[in-house]
Amino acid sequence: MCPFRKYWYALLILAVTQTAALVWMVGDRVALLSSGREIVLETVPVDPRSLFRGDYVRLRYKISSIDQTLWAEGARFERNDEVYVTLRAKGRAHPEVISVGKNRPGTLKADELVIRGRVTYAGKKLSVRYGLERYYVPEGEGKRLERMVGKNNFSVLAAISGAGEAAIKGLMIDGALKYEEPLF
Amino acid sequence: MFGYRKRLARDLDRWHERGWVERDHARAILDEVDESGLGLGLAPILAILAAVLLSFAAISFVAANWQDMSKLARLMLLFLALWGSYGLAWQLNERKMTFFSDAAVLLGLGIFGASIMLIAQMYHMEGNPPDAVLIWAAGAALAALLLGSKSALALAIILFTLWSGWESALTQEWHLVFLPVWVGLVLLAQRLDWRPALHLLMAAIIVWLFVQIINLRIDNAFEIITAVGLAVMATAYLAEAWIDRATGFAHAFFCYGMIIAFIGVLGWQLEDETSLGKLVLLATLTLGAILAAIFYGWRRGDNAVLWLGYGGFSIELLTLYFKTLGTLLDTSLFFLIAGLIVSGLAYFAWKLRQTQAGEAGGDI
Repeated sequence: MCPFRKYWYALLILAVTQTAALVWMVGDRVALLSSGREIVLETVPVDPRSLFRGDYVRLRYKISSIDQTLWAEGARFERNDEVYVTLRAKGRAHPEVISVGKNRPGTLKADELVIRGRVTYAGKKLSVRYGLERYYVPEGEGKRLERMVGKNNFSVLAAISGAGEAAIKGLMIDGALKYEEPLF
Repeated sequence: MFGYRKRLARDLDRWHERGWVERDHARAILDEVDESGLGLGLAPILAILAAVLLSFAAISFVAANWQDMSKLARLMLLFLALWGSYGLAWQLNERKMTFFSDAAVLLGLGIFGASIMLIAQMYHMEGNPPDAVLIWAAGAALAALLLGSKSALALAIILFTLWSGWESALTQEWHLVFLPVWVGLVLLAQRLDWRPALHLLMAAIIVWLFVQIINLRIDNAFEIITAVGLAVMATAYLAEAWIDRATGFAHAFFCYGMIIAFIGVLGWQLEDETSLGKLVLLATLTLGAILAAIFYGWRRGDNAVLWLGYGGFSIELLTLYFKTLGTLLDTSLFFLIAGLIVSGLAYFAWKLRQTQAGEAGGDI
């Protein structure tokens, strides 16, 4: 049944391939986190009742919803479209959306950066998902974090690659980095 | 626990004494039983269950998101477990305990899936969640291909189906990529010569079809499902010889067509907007088709079709009962009619039995 004369040889190929896939996943992420440009995004945990209970919490950002006035000229969006959102930020904090379109803008000013997302709803406003919407809560920290909701301001420190891919670097509470993610 | 092998060994001894079976052949038969795990009774089943439990242990370990251990240490622990499982599979295979080595491969695949989840968790990856399932599924399919592992194939079928359903739930578009993947899995099942996988694949394609139609909120969905089911039945019937040559599966194919068509026509009748006239027409056609199927099953001595027919008949009657309650028929009238139909069928079945018994009696 086993197409290889030696079973161990087939097992070795399997183990090496699977390990390589896992290492590639980690490497891809570490490269983004270590070289991506940092920005700080204000966030609101989405469901205030079941917060921080499960293994992760859903986050929503100011930039998750984009007003029609900021859409690129003549652009029509549909659910699941890939979009490029241009942000303007002084330093790394408080980025504002200045435009959204289906193509990556050619030239950017020094205080601008592009983040890639996917449309989840297109109506009068555009809802966009950036891959930053899930924060895995450390074991035993859920209750503590939940008590802070409503009293404290949450924001996320994110890294954005040149291609516009985004990843969470850490969770900030009232402007101070409280949960920083080590690379390894 | 080893009952089957013992009984077989005893029978083979007797058959050898009567000169029906050569000594070498008897030994070859027993060897085959040992290798297949059939003679081991519960042990291989327990091994598979243990593999599943241990995989869940790995997944729960990941879900706890334990911070006292560094990311690298957690990852290394899972890598160690991954290689350990495959090492165990190798050792068990060396000892000719193929069924147990297959369980160890399944454990390795479970740990591979847990590792993917761990990485997604450690780096707060949201991305496109079905991608993670796809990587896991590909890992399982690779194991099935390289090692000829049956449990790996079963896992791959389940995971690819999950992946496809999730994709179409997110995009709300047809996820047609699944079809070539499914064909690939069919070829793999053929190669491993494992018939249960073909049944699992048929179940997978049925699930896929429904998930697509539900996610897409297609108009006339149930009409389409019914048509697909009838098409499958017609294909299985008309191309029976060809399908049997290629897969040995024409009969099961026909039965799956029946199930799909029946679910379609059932949903069609249950739809709110179905008018009374249409309902009566559909119900009459459905009951007629079911009776035809029962008759066909009886004529060909095909128990699978026969039982599907009986099951379908009961479900159809129940559906009509709920649908017409308080509208078309009075409840008691409904039961009266249903009762009369069933009595008629019982009489029909009794006659059949008598005929069959008569024929069987005549043969002896």
